[in-house]
Amino acid sequence: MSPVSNASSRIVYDALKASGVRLMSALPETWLVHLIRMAEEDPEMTLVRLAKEEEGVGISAGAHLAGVKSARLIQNHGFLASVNGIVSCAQLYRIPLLMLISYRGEFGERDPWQTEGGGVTEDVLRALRIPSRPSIARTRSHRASPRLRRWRCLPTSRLPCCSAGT
Amino acid sequence: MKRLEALTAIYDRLSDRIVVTIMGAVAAELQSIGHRPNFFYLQHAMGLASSMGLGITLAKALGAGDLTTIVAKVEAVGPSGYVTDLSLLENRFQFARSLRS
Repeated sequence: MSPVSNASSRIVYDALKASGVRLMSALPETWLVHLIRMAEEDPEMTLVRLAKEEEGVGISAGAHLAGVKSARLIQNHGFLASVNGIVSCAQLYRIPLLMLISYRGEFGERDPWQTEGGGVTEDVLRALRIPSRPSIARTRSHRASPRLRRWRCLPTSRLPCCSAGT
Repeated sequence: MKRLEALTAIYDRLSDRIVVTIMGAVAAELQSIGHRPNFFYLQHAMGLASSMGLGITLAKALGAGDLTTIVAKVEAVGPSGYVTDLSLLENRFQFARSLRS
């Protein structure tokens, strides 16, 4: 069973929408499946399905320069795969980048292949000086099976070295 | 045809286009012909120029026909240097203003 629910994903999606996000990029990911579907069904949202996670950095950067707020929906391994884009595009050019990262390989993880990346995710975030905030949500179904759903919300615009973009 | 000659050949047609270049010689040589506010040189972020172009296209709600990726095989004689007078951030903010105006 996936630890995410339609109800809790709706809360996250509505918050992103309310903050003005109108463009999202994503690769398939079980924990993000509801969010991706919501973006796909929302006529006010542009969803870009990626072939490679790092492309999401370029798309978000282009959207920002053109004045549109965007978010990347990615798994932590997608974040790891896009590190150079984050450093050499978003950070180098002081472009805000909002990443909603599913934190795989944490407590309750069932897939053994997720734990290696889960163990290094926070260290890599710190190394990149990316401020992050864990978001823990429980839904009714999770009370019966207590499992944490954790997200990391990462606005690089908060970097002290970053000039104010928007 | 040399790369500089190829860029010169299309230069006038780029005057009212949003242009994102890859890094290095193309960026340096296009600047040497004449920088414009609607030119962005994506220095260092290898492989993301086309993605950035897609992001701009989607954000400005342009049509699919407005997005063009130019890939040309040309003879290469590199410029003497890759670092230009235009700073990365000056280019970035000027380009953003150009896109939003």
